[in-house]
Amino acid sequence: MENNIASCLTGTEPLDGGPSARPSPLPLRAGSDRRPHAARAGALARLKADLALRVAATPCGGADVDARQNHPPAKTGALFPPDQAAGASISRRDGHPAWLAPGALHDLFAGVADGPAAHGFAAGHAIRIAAGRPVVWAFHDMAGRELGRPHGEGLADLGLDPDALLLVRARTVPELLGAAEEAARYNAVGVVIISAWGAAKAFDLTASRRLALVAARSGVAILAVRIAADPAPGAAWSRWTVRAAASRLLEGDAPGHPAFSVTLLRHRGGAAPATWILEWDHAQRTFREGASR
Amino acid sequence: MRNERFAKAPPGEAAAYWAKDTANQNVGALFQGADAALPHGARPPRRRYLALWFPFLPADRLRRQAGSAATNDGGKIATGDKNRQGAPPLVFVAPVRGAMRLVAVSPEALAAGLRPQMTLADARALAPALWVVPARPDLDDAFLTRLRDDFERFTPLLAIDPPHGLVLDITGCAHLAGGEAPMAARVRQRARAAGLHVHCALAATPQAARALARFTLAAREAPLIVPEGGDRAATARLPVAALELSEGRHRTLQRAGLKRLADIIDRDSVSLASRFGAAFPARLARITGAEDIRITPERPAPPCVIDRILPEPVAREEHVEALLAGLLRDAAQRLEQAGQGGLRFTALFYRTDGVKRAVTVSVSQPTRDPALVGLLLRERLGALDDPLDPGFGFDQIRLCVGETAPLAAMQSGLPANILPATHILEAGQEDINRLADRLAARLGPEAVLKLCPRGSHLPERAAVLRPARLASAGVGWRDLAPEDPPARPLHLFRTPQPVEAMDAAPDGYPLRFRWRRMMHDVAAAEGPERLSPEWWRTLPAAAATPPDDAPADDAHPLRATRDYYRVEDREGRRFWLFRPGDAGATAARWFIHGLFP
Repeated sequence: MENNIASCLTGTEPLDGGPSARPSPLPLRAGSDRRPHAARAGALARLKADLALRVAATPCGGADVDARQNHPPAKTGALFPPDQAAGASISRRDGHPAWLAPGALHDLFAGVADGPAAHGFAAGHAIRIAAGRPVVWAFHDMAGRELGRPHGEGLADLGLDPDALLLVRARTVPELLGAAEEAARYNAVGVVIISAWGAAKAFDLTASRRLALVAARSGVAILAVRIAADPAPGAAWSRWTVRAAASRLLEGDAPGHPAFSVTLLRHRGGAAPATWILEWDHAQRTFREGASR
Repeated sequence: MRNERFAKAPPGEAAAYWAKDTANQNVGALFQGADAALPHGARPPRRRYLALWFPFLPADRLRRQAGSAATNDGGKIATGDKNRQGAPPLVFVAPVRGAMRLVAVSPEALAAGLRPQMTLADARALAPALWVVPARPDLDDAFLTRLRDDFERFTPLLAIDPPHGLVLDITGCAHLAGGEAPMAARVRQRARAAGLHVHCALAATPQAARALARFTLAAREAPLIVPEGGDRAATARLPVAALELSEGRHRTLQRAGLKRLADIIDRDSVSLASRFGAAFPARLARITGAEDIRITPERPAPPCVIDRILPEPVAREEHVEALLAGLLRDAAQRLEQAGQGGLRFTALFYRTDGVKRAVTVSVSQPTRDPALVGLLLRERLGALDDPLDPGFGFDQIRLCVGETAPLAAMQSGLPANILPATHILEAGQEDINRLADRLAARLGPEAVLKLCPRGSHLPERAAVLRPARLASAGVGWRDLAPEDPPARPLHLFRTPQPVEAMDAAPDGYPLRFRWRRMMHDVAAAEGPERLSPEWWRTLPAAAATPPDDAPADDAHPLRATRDYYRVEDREGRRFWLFRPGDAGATAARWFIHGLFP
């Protein structure tokens, strides 16, 4: 529903062929009956462009300001020409489930060795959703010991301004959840990332439900990275497993941009479980669908 | 022995204003910023000092200990005055010039004719049944410090007055107890309740109060209160011993027939100075109340202090919280009048049995919002490792605002949507500061961190984690070209982790390596990126580093020049490997310094 409204507003609804022009693995929304009239679409597009400019002018105008700036509304046709499909940016406008929504809890599960990948995926979304607002990263001490502490230069390289980051160290999972819940109550916060290590009893359905409610109330996105824990049911809007993926190599066989293999396990919006290879583009602050080598 | 605790007041007008301002606030609260508002030439009001002297402090201390121990055993020895009659004379001895001499005595020993400075042998001859205890001045001092902390409930300006005494500056505090006489009576009652013999005297200078407390018998039975302006008359009757001169000078005065201060009080100060030293007239003037110098309190008085003295002790949590809320409202009002905001708030809880607990919260931005500070205090109280134990209740609660900063008055209740955008951003920043304060109050200040950049090319020095409160903007963060992948890892190990490297590639990096018992096959690598130590920092240690061809010390792979490689394995995991030492080294050792996403 939300996606439909967003796409109507932006006027990027494909007029010919509809969703079939789009790269296939994306779960598609059923919204073709809401196609606006061509003339109305043009007017809407102009209004929308105007609105985007106005929203972009305010410092914390909206969650997807950057998305609007980076992707000026296309006049007609499919958003992504077929020849760019391999490196196409996924976005909210596609209704892509991997475009994590604000105001919700998202569970990201990862194995021990994929902790950095899960953090990278979470950091990418945090950059995208926070759009300049502060990010609170609640860090389990255990995760800090096992993976090393977050490094300022590495964060800056990913595109997350370390000055906008507040790190909270917690010794135990209850402390961690308490701190995250407290942070998520402040709607000045853009995103709260939780890094929990191990299968913790404290991270149960009740805790998950509390976080989900707080997120829904304040509009803050909570990304719960659960390392060394098996995927478990919870109140999250979407549940994922994240693994590191081989990057597209650069010249001279140098490792490329961060790449992730993300598997959707459950989505309350109804998207079907699937796996994508995504690549983080720190310059455009967006995820692109990448081809694994 | 302790240093002289009486110090000269700062000279000039500032001191006068300071004194005036202190007197105006009811509990010694003062705002330095408000000084300028005082009219010039205003004479400071006379100050009032209450001197306490505990003549039998060591004996009282020992009896308190014995009493509490005995009460635990079933109460064989009681500390009451009635039972003291039967106790043996107690003396404290210490070796003085090769002989065991008495340094302190108990009231019974005094009654038996024993005096300090007597040898132990003489004392035994006078009183065969003698309880001899080695003197412990350190324990006496500790006890006196505890007393001082407890007596802080009466005034924030007080100092230890050695030996075995306290001086309380009660200027402007007396009305809290209903006047000077009730105040002195309360102080005395508190000391008596603690099982102490006490002499107290109230006068206009600390020296006069001290002399009256120690050299008059009237100060023993009840507080001796010198009315304002009566210092000269009251001290004139004191013996010259009250001047506390050296043995020789004292004898000289005695020989000259000058027995009382009245005999010398009117003499020419020039001749006194030439006969007894330049400091003599000043000393005399201070004792007779003609010259006032202030005590140096143990701690400078906080800018804002507010008390609740309770007629009945409170022990229930909600009552304590309600009292705290009231204190915070009062503090907010006072801070607002001064145009200040508090940065550090301390709540002090005085228990009826003399135990004091302090709980402090700090905020990153000056504030005077009672709700906010109350919330932080509650969080702090909830997070205490040993919870606040009211025991039989608190009979006084005090709020100190320890540190203040200017804070302009603010319009409250303005809806956010009519504010300009910059205000919204500022409000957001304020929220974040508030969040950081709350989390710091709950988890401890070292748990809420910010990343601060530092101008260094070494990864472990380039970004440091600092408590959010102390974080400051430094040099900016590095910028990355849009097409380049991240060059620095997302996670950095504080201590690089050794890996077992195999099958070196021609470019120098290993083709396979084992880390944490997992084998990784290298699929792609980029490097080396060579980082040299900062010689300007390691210069003193340079002499100790081994020659270049030897492998670097195992404990300090970060001391050597390092060659870094970004490495990706077949599963797509990316690592930041490095090899310390020179490339020509025979046995290369490898470390993981960080992990890329």
